[in-house]
Amino acid sequence: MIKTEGLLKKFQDVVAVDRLDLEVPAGEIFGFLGPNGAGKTTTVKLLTGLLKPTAGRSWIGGIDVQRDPRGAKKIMGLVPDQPYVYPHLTGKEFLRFVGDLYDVDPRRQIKRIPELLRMFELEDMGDELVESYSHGMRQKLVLAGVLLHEPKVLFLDEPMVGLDPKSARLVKDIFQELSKGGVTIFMCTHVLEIAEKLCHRIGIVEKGRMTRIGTVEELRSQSQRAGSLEDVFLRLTGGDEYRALLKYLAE
Amino acid sequence: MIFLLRIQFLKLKNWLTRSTTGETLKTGGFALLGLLFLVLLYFGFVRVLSALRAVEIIGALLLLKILSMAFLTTFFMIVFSSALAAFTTLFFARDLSMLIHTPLPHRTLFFFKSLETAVFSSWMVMVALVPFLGAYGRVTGQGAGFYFLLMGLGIPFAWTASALGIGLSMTLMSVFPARRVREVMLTLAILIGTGLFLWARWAAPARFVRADNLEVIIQYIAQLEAPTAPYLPSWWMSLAVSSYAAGRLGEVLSYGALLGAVAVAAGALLVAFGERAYYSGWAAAQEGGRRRTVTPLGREWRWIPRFFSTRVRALLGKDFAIFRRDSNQWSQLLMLMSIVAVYLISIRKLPLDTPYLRGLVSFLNIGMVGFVLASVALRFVFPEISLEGRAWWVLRAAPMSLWSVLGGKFLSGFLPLSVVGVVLVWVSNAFLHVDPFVVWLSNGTVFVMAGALAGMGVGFGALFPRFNLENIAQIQTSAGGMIYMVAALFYVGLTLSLEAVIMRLYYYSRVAGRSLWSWEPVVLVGAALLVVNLVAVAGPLLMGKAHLERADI
Repeated sequence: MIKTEGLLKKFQDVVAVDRLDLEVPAGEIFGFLGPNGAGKTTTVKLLTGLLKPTAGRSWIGGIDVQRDPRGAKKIMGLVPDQPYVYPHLTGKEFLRFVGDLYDVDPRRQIKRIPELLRMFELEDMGDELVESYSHGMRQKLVLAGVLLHEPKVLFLDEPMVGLDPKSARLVKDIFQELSKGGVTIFMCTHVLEIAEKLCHRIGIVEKGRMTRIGTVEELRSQSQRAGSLEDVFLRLTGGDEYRALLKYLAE
Repeated sequence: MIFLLRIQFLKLKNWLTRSTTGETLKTGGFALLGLLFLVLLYFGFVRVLSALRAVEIIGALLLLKILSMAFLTTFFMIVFSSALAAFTTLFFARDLSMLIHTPLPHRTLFFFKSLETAVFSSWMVMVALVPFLGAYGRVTGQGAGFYFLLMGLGIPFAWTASALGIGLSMTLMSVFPARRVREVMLTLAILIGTGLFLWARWAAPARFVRADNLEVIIQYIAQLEAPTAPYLPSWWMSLAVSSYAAGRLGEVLSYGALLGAVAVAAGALLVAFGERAYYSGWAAAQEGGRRRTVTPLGREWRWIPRFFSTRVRALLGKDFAIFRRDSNQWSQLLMLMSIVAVYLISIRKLPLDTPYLRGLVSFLNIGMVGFVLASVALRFVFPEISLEGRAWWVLRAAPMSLWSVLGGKFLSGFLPLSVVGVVLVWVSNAFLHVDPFVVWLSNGTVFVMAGALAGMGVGFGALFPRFNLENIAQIQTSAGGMIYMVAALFYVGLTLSLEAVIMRLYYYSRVAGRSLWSWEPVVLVGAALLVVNLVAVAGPLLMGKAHLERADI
């Protein structure tokens, strides 16, 4: 469902994404992990058509993102790391706006919008301007907007940030249900427990290059050490220096 | 204070050193264009001022009057742009929540933010004054000392105006309870309208040109000799400059000292006021309010005609909803309406006794309406892309081309712009009692101009987007805004000079009493206008689209 071949993005001399080759089948929840500045968000921007690659190609549902960005965007949804939405629109107006941009039938929107607001516990806030929403409420509104047009592929950049435990659980359940229904989910996250419990496969990216890919078990065996995904991640990304940091803080 | 100034210096240094070659070339190229425009203005002013100076007996008085009008206008512009900008820089800027929690004294922070406001709300207005003052210096034969004097006096002059504007914002934020930004903005807009009225009364441009209407020349001279708003720094500035030009150094010193002393006093008063009211004002501004607005689901954009596509209707509906809820926008709108009212009143009061004069003014009126439209587009069309702000990703991720986005923005700019332009030219033509030919020519021209200026506004706005800026005034006064304005004025000037050929043929035919029309000049002018409009619209739109495609936002 998601495929890339030699995807490369350079910002002047800095290589943000370094010849990424990836294939994610339909219905898979793929976790994209990496330290800060590793190129996760840039990869999402490339795959969703927000950025043009320096070289390489990518396909969503068999549609070439560079050649037919509109076709690819029709079947995908994006939740960015910062859920910025128009502060002077109400929640309902934002959803209507998104629905119209994605050409969702107005009758379908009228039915689905109250359902989505109810599902994310935003029904009392639907007529309020977004400027009065908290970070978590904006995150849920963006998620509702993404689900409105029923995409086949979802790109989520840190989707759990700002959500309270109840909402985080709800969102996790939604992702699992969507995955069972055949929706492919590409998720960047720093919350390793969520990646461990939710993702079918995980890719680890460092300095723009994907250094490891596999299930949690496969990654464990690659790092030759048992333990949680956090331990594996720190081992694989050379993050053991954090012990030095702890020593420094203790001094 | 040094710490805060250092941050600004580092920001500037990073901007200068980290720009790509393409960006440097783009900025440099357009800056050169801006410079060229200023040079053209300079030569225009040299001609006008030389002609005025040559008038016997009253030449020097005319120059002083013109000088005082220029300074008064500049003074008011700085006061109001500082007042508008101060709301954002002092109360809603993003860096404030970090800075206010540092151990910096609030007084230092307030003074630094006031300085920042003063610099960015006055630099463009002061730069616009340079060609005029340069021409004044040349016409009156001044040396380098004159320009040093201007630099020396310009700083306290601009600072006093800014301090007044910032004080105005602070007072409004103190008077109104927490986050009543709408009320504050409305009050400010009314104050700006009043300011414009006072400007029109003090500067009295209509009386200034009505020499023939004053019964005796003595009255006219008395009118010229009367000070223009004698208690404002603009008048002291005019006297200091004209005294220097006349070699009266004693007066220069006394007016310079007065300007300096008032600037220091204004700064001290402002800081004292800030010390008492700033922190509480900032804290109150952070308290979020709740605003409900209930529209039945599915009827949000019902008023937008259905012949537009669903996406375009959604884009227009969204832009309109944001426009009417954003108090920043309608304070700008009210200010604009005041400018239009002052313009129409001035047109009505103009003494136009001869058909020649009436014809000339009605033709120049097209240019003036073009200028008003360019200013409206700078306020409302140019910032449209930037105002998408950090929500730009919503449009970029949606299955629509950038052309649809730019097209939607163009429509939401063109529709109101064409209505404003046509109404303005229609009403001013009615006041001027112009011929039907001129009515049709001016209406047609203004309609096409509205389209071209909307296209240029969207195109330049896409070429120089400022998604991180929070304030429309900042977007307008950015380098991109200045470049748009220069290009727009150049376009208006070019259109007017091409149409002058048609107007001349029309008036020569009328004077001669027979048709002097021939098809060659009409076709040539028509073709030239077509090319000018195509280049004016397509150039910026193509460049803007390419830039948005490349940009990492």
